[in-house]
Amino acid sequence: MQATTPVDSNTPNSRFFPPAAQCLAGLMLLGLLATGSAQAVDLNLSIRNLGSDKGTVYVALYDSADSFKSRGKGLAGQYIPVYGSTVTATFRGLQPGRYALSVFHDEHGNGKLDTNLLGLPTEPYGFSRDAVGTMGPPTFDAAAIDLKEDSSIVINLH
Amino acid sequence: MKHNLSNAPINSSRRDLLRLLGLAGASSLLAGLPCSAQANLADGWQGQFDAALKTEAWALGYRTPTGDLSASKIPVRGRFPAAVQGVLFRNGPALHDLGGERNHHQFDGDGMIQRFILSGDTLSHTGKYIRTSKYLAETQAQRRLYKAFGTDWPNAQKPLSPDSINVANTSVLPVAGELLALWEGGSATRLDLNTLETKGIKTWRDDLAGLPFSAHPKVDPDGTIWNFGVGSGQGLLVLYQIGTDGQLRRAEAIPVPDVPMIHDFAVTDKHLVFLMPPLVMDRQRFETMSFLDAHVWRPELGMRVLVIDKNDWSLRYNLTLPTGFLFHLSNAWEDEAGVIRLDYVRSDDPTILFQTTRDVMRGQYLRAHEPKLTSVTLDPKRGMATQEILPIDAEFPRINARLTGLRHRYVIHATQPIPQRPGYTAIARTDVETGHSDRYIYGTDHFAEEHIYIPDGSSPGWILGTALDLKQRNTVISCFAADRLAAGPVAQATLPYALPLGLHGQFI
Repeated sequence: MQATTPVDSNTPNSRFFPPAAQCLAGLMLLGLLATGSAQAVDLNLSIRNLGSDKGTVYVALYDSADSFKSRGKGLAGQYIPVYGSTVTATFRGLQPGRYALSVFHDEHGNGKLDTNLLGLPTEPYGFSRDAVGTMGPPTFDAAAIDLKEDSSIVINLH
Repeated sequence: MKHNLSNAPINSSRRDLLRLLGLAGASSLLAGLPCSAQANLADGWQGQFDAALKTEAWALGYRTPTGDLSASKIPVRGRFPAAVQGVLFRNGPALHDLGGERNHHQFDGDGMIQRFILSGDTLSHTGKYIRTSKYLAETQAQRRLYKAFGTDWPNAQKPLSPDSINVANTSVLPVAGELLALWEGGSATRLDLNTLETKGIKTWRDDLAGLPFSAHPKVDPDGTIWNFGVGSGQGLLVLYQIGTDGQLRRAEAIPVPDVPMIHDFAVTDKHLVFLMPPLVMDRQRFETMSFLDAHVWRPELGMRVLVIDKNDWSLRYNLTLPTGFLFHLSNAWEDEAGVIRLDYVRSDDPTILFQTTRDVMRGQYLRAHEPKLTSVTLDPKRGMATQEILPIDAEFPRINARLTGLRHRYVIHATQPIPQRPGYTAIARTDVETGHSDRYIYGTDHFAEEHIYIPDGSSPGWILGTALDLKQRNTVISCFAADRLAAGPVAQATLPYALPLGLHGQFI
């Protein structure tokens, strides 16, 4: 079963940050995506450069440019309480393919990525491949990883 | 780079930099650099500038100080008057080269704060690099890590946020026991007033973190501080009102379609006044170009004027002046009928921003249209805006700060540019009611920098400012009687070194 997640209407209407990450607050799924396929692979994340050792890290997984770009539906999401300097997470049972992740560290514990008046994030955030956008989120292509087998990646927040 | 080299001579040549780094025990920092980067000046700008230093006296003003500076007990010729015995802070771009590479724009230089402590007969000076996060990361790495305001470094990271390329290099604002180093694109940077140590960025409120806070705040006679910041990519203009206690009173982002690059503004007793030159960011260009070069000159927009009620920011008037470019305004005031008068220094186009302030970094000079003092009349209620361009070359305009928003008569400004090189050779006090200018001519071997008016009870007051002496190769600070500028300085002191050309300052 693959799960999709709804958009949280309480998240900020950011002018800077990707809608993809904004909808993270609505992602309440744990990363157990059961699938019957024998080809299913696991994606292990190590998330570094957190802003502090408290709060929660929200991770969203996307499998298409449309869902990444729009305020749309992530394929799956996780939230992980922070207790140290690094957070790890695993998405299991994914079909091989292209995926992009967006992450933020909810230091203030209000379930959303805080932004300033211009919509720029004021809490740590990041994307797979440490992709960087220009005055906004990176493109799906810039952040996408080709997942063919069990893999481990590092995402550094900024 | 270590910056504990008090009294270090200023010399930007690569060999001396390496020598100083070696002396500072930091030579290992260079070990990781590819040999080619050390030997060759990858894009040629460093080499061109170093060559110009040998042939062009004026290039002195764009050298990089090799470290923090200090000198004390500097004798004064004459005597600084009691009203001028205090502290002058100035800010300006200073770290123009790093790791064998030279910035492609003067405004990319990391800021250095200059503090002049004036007593009657002695002067002491401290120059200190501002330790922004960018400065710390890049000097540690000994190379430019971020694409900057005007330099699109290859192999450098795009700025993640305005503050990731904040060089804090434009002006200063003393407020509530702190000194803020200002840059227009991002947060103000907090400095310790006594030690000049960098204390971090200023966050006025959680949702204002990292927002642009311009380098030209205006302070009402009652101490209320007004400022703005431009959200280029978002089409927003952020407004700030700060109390005399240094606490934020109000902040809001208002939508301004095609909001351009805005460097300065003015306030009357009732309104905030923005002159908006038609220099507008194209986000698409920012994908592949520096922040500056992502801006497009759109003269068809004219010089838009936005007048905002100080008490109710939703009350706004839009007017238009003939197209043109500016950095600075001197002051604005309005009469009983609500007609606003202001002066600004106007040029025809932004060549000075796109070319002149860029070329100087490789020791070249292109003469652009020089800014002229320009008087404006605005009648917001009737939608009328007119201007008169005076035949007076001017930059760095200042007034008696106590008259901010009120009727002023005199503007202190640099003047007399010369064809051979950038900068100004004289300082003037212009009576904007008669058009008469009184001036002191430093001469063609001096760069006249910004001069500030210092009030003195009911007397005419004083004018204080710096100039770079290209012949003696050092910086001088001079005080003039405001009503007898042409008579020359009543007091002057000479630093034992040349400072990089600075921008704006405040006297406290």
